[in-house]
Amino acid sequence: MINMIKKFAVITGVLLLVVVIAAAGCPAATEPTTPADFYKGKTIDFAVAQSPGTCADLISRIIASHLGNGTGASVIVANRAGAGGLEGMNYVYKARPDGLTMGTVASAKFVGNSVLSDPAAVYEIEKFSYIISIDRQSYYFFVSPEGPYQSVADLQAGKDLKLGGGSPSGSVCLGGLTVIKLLGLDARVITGFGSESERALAVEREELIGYCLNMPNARASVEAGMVKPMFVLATERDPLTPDVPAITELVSLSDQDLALVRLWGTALVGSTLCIASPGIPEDRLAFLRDLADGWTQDEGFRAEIDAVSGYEVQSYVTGEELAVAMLDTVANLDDFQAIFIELIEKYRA
Amino acid sequence: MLEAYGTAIATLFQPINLLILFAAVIVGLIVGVIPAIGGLATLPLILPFIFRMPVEIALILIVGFHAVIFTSSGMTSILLNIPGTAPSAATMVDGFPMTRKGEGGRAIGAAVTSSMAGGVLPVFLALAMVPLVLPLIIALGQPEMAILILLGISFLAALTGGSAIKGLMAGMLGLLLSFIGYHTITGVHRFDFGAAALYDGIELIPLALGLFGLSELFYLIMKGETAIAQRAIAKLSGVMEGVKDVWRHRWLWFRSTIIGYVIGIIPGIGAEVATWVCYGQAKQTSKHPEKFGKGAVEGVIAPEAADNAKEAGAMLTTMALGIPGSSVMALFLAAFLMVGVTPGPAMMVEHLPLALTLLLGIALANIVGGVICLLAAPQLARVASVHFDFLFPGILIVAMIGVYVATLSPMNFATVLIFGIVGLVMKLYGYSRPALLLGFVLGGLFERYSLLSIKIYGPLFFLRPIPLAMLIVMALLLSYPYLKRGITSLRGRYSQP
Repeated sequence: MINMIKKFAVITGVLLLVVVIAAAGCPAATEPTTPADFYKGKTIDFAVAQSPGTCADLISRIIASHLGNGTGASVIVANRAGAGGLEGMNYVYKARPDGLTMGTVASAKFVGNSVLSDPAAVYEIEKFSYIISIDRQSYYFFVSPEGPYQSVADLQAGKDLKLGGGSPSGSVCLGGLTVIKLLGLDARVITGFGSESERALAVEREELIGYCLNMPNARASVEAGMVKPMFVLATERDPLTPDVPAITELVSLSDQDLALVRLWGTALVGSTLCIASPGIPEDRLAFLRDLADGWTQDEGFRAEIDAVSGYEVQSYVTGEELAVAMLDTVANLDDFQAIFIELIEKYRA
Repeated sequence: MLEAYGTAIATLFQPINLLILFAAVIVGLIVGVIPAIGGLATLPLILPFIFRMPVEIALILIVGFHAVIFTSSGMTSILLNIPGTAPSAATMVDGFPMTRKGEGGRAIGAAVTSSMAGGVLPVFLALAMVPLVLPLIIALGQPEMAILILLGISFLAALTGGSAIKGLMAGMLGLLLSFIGYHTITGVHRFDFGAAALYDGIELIPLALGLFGLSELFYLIMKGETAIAQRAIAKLSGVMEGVKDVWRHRWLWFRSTIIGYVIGIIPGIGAEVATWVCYGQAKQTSKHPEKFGKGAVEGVIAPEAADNAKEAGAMLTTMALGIPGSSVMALFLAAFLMVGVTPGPAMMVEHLPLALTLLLGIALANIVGGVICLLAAPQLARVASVHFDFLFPGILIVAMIGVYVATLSPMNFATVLIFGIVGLVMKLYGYSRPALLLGFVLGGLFERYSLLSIKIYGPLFFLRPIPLAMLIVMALLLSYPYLKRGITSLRGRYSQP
């Protein structure tokens, strides 16, 4: 009996070895002829450069689920949010150009790293393969609903004001610095607040007077009555909140300042960008972009995006348009780089 | 109100909801017991499935799953010296020595009972506490947080083991290690030598796994032992002894539950703070502090009560105020929003029956989870007597898989190995490993809150009324054993004829 078991084990082992060698050594029977064939049965490594539970993380998971259904590939989602999302951005940038490594990034942080030439960011934004951009969330300036600063005049009259920031090079910090410059405030941005709720509570305690953030991420704090939007950091009102004025309605700005506000309406918006590694084959990129365009027509997909965003998302930008927009942004980077570096030196605590 | 309770009970006890809760509890217990994997790694996997579920089922699933993760996570700390989740690391200090003495079943009994009861009590406190939660959170600003964490760090003194100097050196090493990585206030990259893997510093779980789990196995093998415990009491009576221990130390349990709950409702304060603060106060107030670190059951009861109470507190704050206090709670909040329910004060009014269903769901999940763990404990305790030839590779594979799934960084394999060797050297030369871990856990938090306090209130931030009062309480607490000794000695002197 024992001999039989031994023989069985040896035979099974040899057979397994043969199968493994055959699978590893033999080329595929047929090379895939179309991108659709290429993706079937493959595994897509999907890096989310956002912390779990954020709005962008949930949107990413919806994208990943539809990506899997549309390609027939298994999509493995992983949060790579280290160093403020740099981990995920660098990861996708350095991946092989085969279209099997994709991910999502938050637009403002993604562009902000390039604006500030963060030495830890190894990527060049114009080189990524862009698939789709979802939503276009403007940044608002939030204050306490019952605090002493209820208007721009109140803010301008204040002394040694403290605005909240997150990461020292993040969009919340850059937004605060922009507000200080545009309104000419006697203020500083204090970075290091770990989460939105910590910042909102600091406003409630009057440790901070306010901060800049997009509406989906501030929604819970707004609904809890801890903060309210004072203005939108854009040249026009946001259709999401028609009662909240744009900053340009409240102060007159120089041409340079207006260009800065426009940057917050274009590249530094709160969008979730779906990207793939640079240089993937053209036909695969076109296939992925067509797939993504199809999602925007799919009511189920849009309903899921609306559910996690908390409102009806209107803005979907195609991969081609997004790639062009990123080239434009890169062309103007030098001007903004100097402005933000000066602002950081002057006003970041 | 009574009507809302009736509706909540009727909803919770519908067969389908009970079934979902039971399934969620089982999965939560398994997740808790696998080293390194906690709610943060697993909740994102569940979220996509709840989109089209009915609201009650979706939320009962999430609540039931998360409520019990910390009930089972103490088991690996006790049996293998490997923390199931980061906060349960404090349980190792006395839990593992109990296992070595053949009291693994008793330790599990105490841990599970303390944890289960620690998860249930806050639910019943919740409704009474809701009006007090927001004022409490508002009162605790950056300076108060800094002092609270300093209180935790001051318990280094309680963890120094044999030599105070060596203990403090280990604690300082932990503090230094916590400073590695991207500085979130200044944006400076510190001590990372340009290595991307160190941008966010050293991860807690691989460090704890190496420092305690791996080094302990190395040590036992070096000593020529063949199993963690030569005799593992695998009887229900051993487990029941642990259950009775919780009753014997009920005031310690109650104190730890309240401390854990209060720390849990404060957003931004690390979950690990609760367990270490409770461990420290258990030792400070014990009649036999010398037994701590050598297998004192109070050292298991206190952190385990705090662990679950803290999580219950965080969940209740998220539901009642819409303020998520941690990444896991942000996921929790997202789950609510995904099914169309906005947590916050309005939820406690507009969706009161749903809120009560979830609160009762947390309590029921804790009870079900606790009973399952207690029943399984005698069998689980046998792990301690498994021969190292089988146990060592098994632990190594499961722990490494857990580390990889939780952190997605192959570099962390190296972290486990390096700290395995560091831990072995520390153990051989009598340096306190818990002190290193405490310094590491709290160092970064203290630095962040103290720097924020200085930037907001100036360098004399600690002279504000609440921080000052907290400092005085801390001084009293730390000097309590000496004061007690002094008073006893004085009494003795004057009572002599």
